Amino acid sequence: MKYLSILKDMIKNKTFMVGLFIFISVLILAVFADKIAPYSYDLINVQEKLLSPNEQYRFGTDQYGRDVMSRVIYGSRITLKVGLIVVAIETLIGVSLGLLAGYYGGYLEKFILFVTDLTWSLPPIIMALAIVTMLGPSLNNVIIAIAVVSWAQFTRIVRVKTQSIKSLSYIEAARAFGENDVGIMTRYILPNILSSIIVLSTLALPTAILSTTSLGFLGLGSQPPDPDWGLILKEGIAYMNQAPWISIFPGLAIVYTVLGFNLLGEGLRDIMDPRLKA
Amino acid sequence: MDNNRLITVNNLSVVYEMQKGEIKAVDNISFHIEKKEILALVGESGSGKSTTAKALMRLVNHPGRISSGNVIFGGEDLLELKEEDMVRIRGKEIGMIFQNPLDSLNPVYKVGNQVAEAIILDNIPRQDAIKKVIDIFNDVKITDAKERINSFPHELSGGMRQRVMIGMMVSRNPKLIIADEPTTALDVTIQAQILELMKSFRDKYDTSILIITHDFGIVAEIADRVGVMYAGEIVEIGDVFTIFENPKHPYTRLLMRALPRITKNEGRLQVIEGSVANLANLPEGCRFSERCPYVMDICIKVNPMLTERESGHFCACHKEDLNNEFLG
Amino acid sequence: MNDIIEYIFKRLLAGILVIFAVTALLFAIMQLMPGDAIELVSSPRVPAEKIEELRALWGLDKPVLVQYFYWLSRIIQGDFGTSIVSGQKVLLLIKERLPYTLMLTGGALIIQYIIAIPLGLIAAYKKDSVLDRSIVAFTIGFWSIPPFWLGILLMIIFGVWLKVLPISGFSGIKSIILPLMTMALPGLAGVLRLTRSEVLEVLRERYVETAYAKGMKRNSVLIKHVLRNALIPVTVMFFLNLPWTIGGSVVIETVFAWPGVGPLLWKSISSQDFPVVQGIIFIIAILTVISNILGDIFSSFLDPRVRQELKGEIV
Repeated sequence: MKYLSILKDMIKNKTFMVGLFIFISVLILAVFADKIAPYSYDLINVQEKLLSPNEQYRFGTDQYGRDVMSRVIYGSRITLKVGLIVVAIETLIGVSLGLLAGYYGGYLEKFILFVTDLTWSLPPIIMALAIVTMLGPSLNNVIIAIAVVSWAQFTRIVRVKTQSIKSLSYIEAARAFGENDVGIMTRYILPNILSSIIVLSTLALPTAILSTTSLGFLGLGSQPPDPDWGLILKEGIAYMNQAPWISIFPGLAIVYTVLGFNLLGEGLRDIMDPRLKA
Repeated sequence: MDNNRLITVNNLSVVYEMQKGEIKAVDNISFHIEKKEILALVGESGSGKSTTAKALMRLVNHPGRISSGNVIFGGEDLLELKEEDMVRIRGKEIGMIFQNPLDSLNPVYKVGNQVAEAIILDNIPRQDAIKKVIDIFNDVKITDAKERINSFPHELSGGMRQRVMIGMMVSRNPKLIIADEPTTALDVTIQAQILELMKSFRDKYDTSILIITHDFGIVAEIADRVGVMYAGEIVEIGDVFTIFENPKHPYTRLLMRALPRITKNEGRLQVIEGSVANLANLPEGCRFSERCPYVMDICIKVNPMLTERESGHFCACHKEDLNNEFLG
Repeated sequence: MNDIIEYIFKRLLAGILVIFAVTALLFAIMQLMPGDAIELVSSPRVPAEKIEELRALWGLDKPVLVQYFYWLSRIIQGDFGTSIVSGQKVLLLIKERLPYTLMLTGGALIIQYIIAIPLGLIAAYKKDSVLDRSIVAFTIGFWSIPPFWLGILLMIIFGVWLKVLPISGFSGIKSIILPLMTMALPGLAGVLRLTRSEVLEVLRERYVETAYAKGMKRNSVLIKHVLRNALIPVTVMFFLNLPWTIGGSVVIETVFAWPGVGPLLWKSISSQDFPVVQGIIFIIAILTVISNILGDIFSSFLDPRVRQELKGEIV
């Protein structure tokens, strides 16, 4: 019953619906890239290089004659995959640590807080830079790096909420019933903070995508010829004069996707947990 | 007689523009308050009493607006004044005390400073203003006034915060104080003290008070006259003794019966059947008709007007005399 | 007051610990990377013994822990070491470039806050007006733009198409415009958004009504009561966002070939010039920790209710 009313709220919320539309459109592009994209993303055709947008190549071609539009379409796979995985990891780690810290307190809490503060001791980009540089440039390492610097936001909020729920009387009742710690955390505390977590995760997506494309832009993510949007942008700089479209369109794609997730997250927050503002 | 009037409200209406349409929160009410008088406006939530209070100060905000009427005070119609002129009325001529003192005080400023802020508006230098704040705190019976001026709102108890509010609003010696449910959020014992405090201000400084409440007990304690509001209209108004002796409106009767303290007979509390009228969906006739135990055919078709029953006692009801039918 | 000092002290201590941990970690990271600076700088024809000699010279042959403590003791005295690649003193290198970075970050922050705070106030006060709606649209739009792409876009528009502004390096006032805009705009959107939403919240508070009821004029109420309260979270966010701003600067400087600390860091990482990397990271870590602590301090200083909570934490 509660879910039905949430569904109704969702449909009424314009921000959410627009965000959802954008998300689904990108999802479709990603899933059906093979069918939608006119060319393969690594189809080299040097004779057709650096062509401005025309009938055949809607977004123009790059320095190797590859169709920019197809590359952008295939790139959506990377973006979505990376974004979702990163957020999944940081949510998992962040929430678990937050629960443990808030529930047990004491030295465990201090330790978890220390480690979490460590991940925040440098600006995220720089920290991620360092991690990726150490592990070597690859998409997977970018995922790890961003997840590591981002879990802190979850840990902080989950810890505080856990502490306040922990002191409620029905937790004591549960313990009297013989519930063990893990049981309490998963069956009593977690469901209560679930809506906040969902909102936070959704709002973490745009940041994750911006960060990963930034690292891709620096050449630290997927390697050529992968059509990572950030990477395409980087390659396009050299041809800024002759072929600005190489850099323009992937950027637009990023803006479109990030905007979509922002709206989705904002809408979701209005629906589920307005108290999480800022 | 008119010379004794401090403020006269004529045909005041306030509407709220909601998505579903316009709601008349206050519908064409008229009343007056005399000098040195305490008038109580009673009613359940949604009756329009708080909105009326705010309208007098022109503090009605979007999506509400005052749609008609005039408020004559000191020879001027307050509703016609320019905002900058209204600013000099607020606080100085008319003061207002709100319901929940925790929310009504700014949490980041010391209470002393917040009261001083009002005093300074009269071009009193800061040093003198602070001294005056201490005097006021003593007046409103705040203990350790000198230390208390440096406290923050969250460091004070509810009763003390309300005293600060009162101090703040009487600091410029206004002629009229509007108190919107001033004791609702407080303990019963503190309630009595605050009411005493307010009465003393009337006695010492000749201030008139308009007190908004849903509690007839408070009316009995402090009011000289009382007006009963229902669904945006005044249904009965008059001298407090007269009304307690002989309430002429069914709603008034029921409100009084709902009070544990007033009932002379032992027995169960009388509950008023039904719920407050839906302002978006008002009946054609009397607004109370759906809940009224005395309802007659005419009540459903025609909305009764306020008529004078005895000197100064007005009632809006088709039934002339309730006697003691139905209620035992 | 004493409670707050105690709290600051504790946070500083924790912060120092964190800085040590981070630099130690980074030291370890650098060590784990395959090869080292000496190899990179020297050509393949240099005999192996010579390379070992050079390594010994730089102390790179000693165990990691020793190297770390060696480095630590020197940096505390202010000696940031020498760049392996260029031979210059690290501190000097950083000092040369720091002003440019500060120019960019400082300038961007000033622009952001000077524009965003009044605009946010007005937008909230005139909620749903045309002005407000356009501001909200601008906010959501610009917040979704990746800064590096914005930079490139601006470069294309103003540098390539219109040819009015220089697009790389530092060459006087004109050359700072594009990098500054790129840095300022996305952040501006964020601050604007926050200010607007905070002001909206405060406008709903009862104490604003009280202020009017006292007889205060509208502008006084807006500044002394509304802004004063709404700016609390805005100020705190300023400090908490500083690390992000610094990080963003690193990327944008690289895009515009701006002679700041960013490209230096980047170059040093690629050439494995440890001393430079360590030095820069050390400074950035200190700045970050200080920013976070300042954020906490301001949050308590500006809001008396938080001071109350802090006392609870210490007890």
